[in-house]
Amino acid sequence: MLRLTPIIDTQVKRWTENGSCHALLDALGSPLNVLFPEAVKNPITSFQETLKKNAVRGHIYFACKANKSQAILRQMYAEGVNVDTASFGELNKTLACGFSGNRIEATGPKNDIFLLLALQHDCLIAVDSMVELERIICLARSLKKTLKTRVLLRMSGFTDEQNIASKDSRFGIPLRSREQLLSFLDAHRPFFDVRGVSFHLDTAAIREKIAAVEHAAQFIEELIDAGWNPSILNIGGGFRMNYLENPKEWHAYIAALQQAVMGKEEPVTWNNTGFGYRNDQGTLKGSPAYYEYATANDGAKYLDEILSAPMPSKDCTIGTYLSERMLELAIEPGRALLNQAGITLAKVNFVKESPEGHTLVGLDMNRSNLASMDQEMFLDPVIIPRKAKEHKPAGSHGVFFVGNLCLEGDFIYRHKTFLPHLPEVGDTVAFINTAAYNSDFGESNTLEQRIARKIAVIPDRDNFRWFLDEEYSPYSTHV
Amino acid sequence: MKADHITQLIGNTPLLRIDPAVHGLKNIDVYAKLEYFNPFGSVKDRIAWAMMRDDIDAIRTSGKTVLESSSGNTAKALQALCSVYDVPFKTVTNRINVQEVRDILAIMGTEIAELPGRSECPDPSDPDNPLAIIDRMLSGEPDAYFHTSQYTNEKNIRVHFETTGKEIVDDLGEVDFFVGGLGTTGSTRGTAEYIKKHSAAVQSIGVIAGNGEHIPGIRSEGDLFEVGLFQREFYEGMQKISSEEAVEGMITLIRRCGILAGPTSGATYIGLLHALKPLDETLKSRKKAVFIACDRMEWYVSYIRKRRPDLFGLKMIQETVTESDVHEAPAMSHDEAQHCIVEHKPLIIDIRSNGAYRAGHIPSSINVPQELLKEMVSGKPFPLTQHILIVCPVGEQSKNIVARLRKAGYEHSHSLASGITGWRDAGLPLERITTNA
Repeated sequence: MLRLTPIIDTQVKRWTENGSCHALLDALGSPLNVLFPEAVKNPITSFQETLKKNAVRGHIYFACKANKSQAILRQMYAEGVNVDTASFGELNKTLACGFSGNRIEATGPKNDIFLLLALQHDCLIAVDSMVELERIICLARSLKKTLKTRVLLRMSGFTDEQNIASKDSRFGIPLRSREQLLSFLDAHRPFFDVRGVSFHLDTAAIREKIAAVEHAAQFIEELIDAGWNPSILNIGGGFRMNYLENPKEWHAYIAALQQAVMGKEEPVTWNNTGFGYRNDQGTLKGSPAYYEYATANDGAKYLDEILSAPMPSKDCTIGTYLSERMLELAIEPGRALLNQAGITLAKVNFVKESPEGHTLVGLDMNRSNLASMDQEMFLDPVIIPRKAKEHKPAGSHGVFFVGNLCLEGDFIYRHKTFLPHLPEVGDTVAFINTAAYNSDFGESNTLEQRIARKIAVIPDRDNFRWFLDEEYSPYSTHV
Repeated sequence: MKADHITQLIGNTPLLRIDPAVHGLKNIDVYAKLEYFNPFGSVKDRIAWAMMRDDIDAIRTSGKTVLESSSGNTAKALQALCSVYDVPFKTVTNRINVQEVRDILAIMGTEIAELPGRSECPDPSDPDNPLAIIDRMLSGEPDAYFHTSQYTNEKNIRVHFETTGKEIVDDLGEVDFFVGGLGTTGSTRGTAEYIKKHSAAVQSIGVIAGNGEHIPGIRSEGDLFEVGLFQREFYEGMQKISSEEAVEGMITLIRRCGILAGPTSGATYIGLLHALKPLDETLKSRKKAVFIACDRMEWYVSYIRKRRPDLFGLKMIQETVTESDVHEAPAMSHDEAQHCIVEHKPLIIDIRSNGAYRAGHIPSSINVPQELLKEMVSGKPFPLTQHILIVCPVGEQSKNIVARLRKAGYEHSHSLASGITGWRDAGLPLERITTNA
């Protein structure tokens, strides 16, 4: 039986076992996002310890796009981290959760309304283009700002001597145009306080990260030579997260997927979709279009790998380079901070068979409530039965979880899940570790279907307390 | 032996019998085909030449660049041949995980286009694999490249049929078992096909990496489907080997047989043992088995070091100071340091790396990176009356140096508390040597 056993935090497991989920789903509707805000303490502590171990001063900016929860944001405030906001809405919400501008970074593509609020609160602005610099000058003048705007210069287009072909990116100022950038900044000195350089790579491959650090570090030197005072190197996010208990299960599932695409085994996906793989006249072609759900070095361990990596041009590690150069590291983890911070519950509406004999479990949720940007989540959910079941021998039931939209393509999982027991109508299905990008990120109320409510759950001695997401604050719960 | 051209030295490799005391099989004679005796060090030398020899004149006159997707041995062989024939060569890959390979190719002058790592937000509409990129390069500039295409080129199989397989049969006659690692699968298939002509009952066994394992040059089960030449039905058996087993096998070959081959050869040897041990007892007559030792051990040092650090022992830097020596090493605050600078003109030594020093240092300090300074101290290179102030990033590494200085008799040595970071944070002056200076 092909399993994809998820890692489940002990608190989360205890909560799913205490049976309160059914009443909550009945009351608040399905699907329901259950957040565990205190779970963020673990990853934050790990990151801080890794920085300390490498003698690097660092700033953690939580990329709040990963989840819209206010409870999480308020918890982040209490944990002392900063926030990376990527829209007016996110900035507004972050300010409302108590953060002041000195703990906020504004990144990504910006409209005037976003820039204005960022300027008014003196946030750190990661500048995406020269046009944005011009816009800042214009708006700063309009606001009659006296303080210089603190900026990070977001650069892109890094290659190294060994000719690593980087993919093109729509973000950042091309490194090759930095002379033009330096001239522009020089001509407008009174407006800017260049705090440093940032980048965000779309890949977690260490070699590319190292190449980017090398180039960014070089550019920081050039900025200092030009009379600026940068001290921050921001390496963005992409710290990976390990979802699965057993990497062998992951490899076995992928091998089964590949075999099925080649026609050697029974399909394990609906319509034998290859998720990026295809059969080209007997040869497997293509490359995987899914996240790596089993990964060895995730989160803070990945940061440690980066800081311990040798910098080819400097004959020392990246961590040593940063601490010797007295540069501060900024990181923008989103997913990595939300490890075990949330699950998504849904009620089973029906169980039936398709014409070709596949078992379909119909849930009161749709794909948009889980799979952001149509990215498949390869992780077995936990079935929480509503009624105590009489003991049946465990079998291997392969099911497809289908959604509540009147659309052929609305599958929660396009890959088959193998369960020891078939779920029944009214049972709760709990999708694990969904807080980061797998709950509200791409959610839609298409067909007037529900956008999931959020609740925050915290442990309370042997029990738990729950709050509507907007009602929770770590500062008021324990008094 | 005398040769007029390096290509004449390709092939005709020795077949070495493995001592039965090593492999332990009672009824089977085991032979290793030492492919690393090829001039460029691996079994790939054969196919590199085979894929180019018919077209080499045309390639030279047309000015084309030879293009391949290779993670190592094929690139090395192709580069060697291209250099000798004065033809440009380029490899496109996302599989070079071994630093030594990259270094050797750099020495040989290879142009390597490494592909981007796997995307964190995979875009279903964007294929990143090397073969797709090569396809794009070829269709973009069809006259610029000669694509040897080792994964689909039938010459890959044919040269092993005509040479490797023939050599084995010429040496041994009957062969009952043939074991090879599967990368492009060309060597195993071509060789086994020739052997089959003479020993119809020969069983060929393919050795692959276990799922998720990394063994250089051979693939795991799922990846094999990407290889055009692969035909599953051809093999009587497949053995999945882990990288731990590959290294164990390699060490056995090195230490007990004098076969200085790499981990892939180790994997193939272990695959042979796994496949044949169960059969050994049941055999009624003596059988012969052959496996391929495909390449040399030398460029896998970092691969081995990562998996078997115990083999290398721990490199201990001579620690002449104890933890409490370091803990008690005296430090100076900023005020005390500034006072000392005026009164005693101390030698201020910044022990960070040179680049960090040049970017910003305490005025009048000199730079001696700490590893170098550690070596110098026991030689007492300063007058014992000299005042010395040691500066490091945060005031910790400097204490180790001061402990050593004190032990060597330097009573006026101190560490700068909080290091240069503290100095900078307190707004005290720093000097810079600009990159243009």
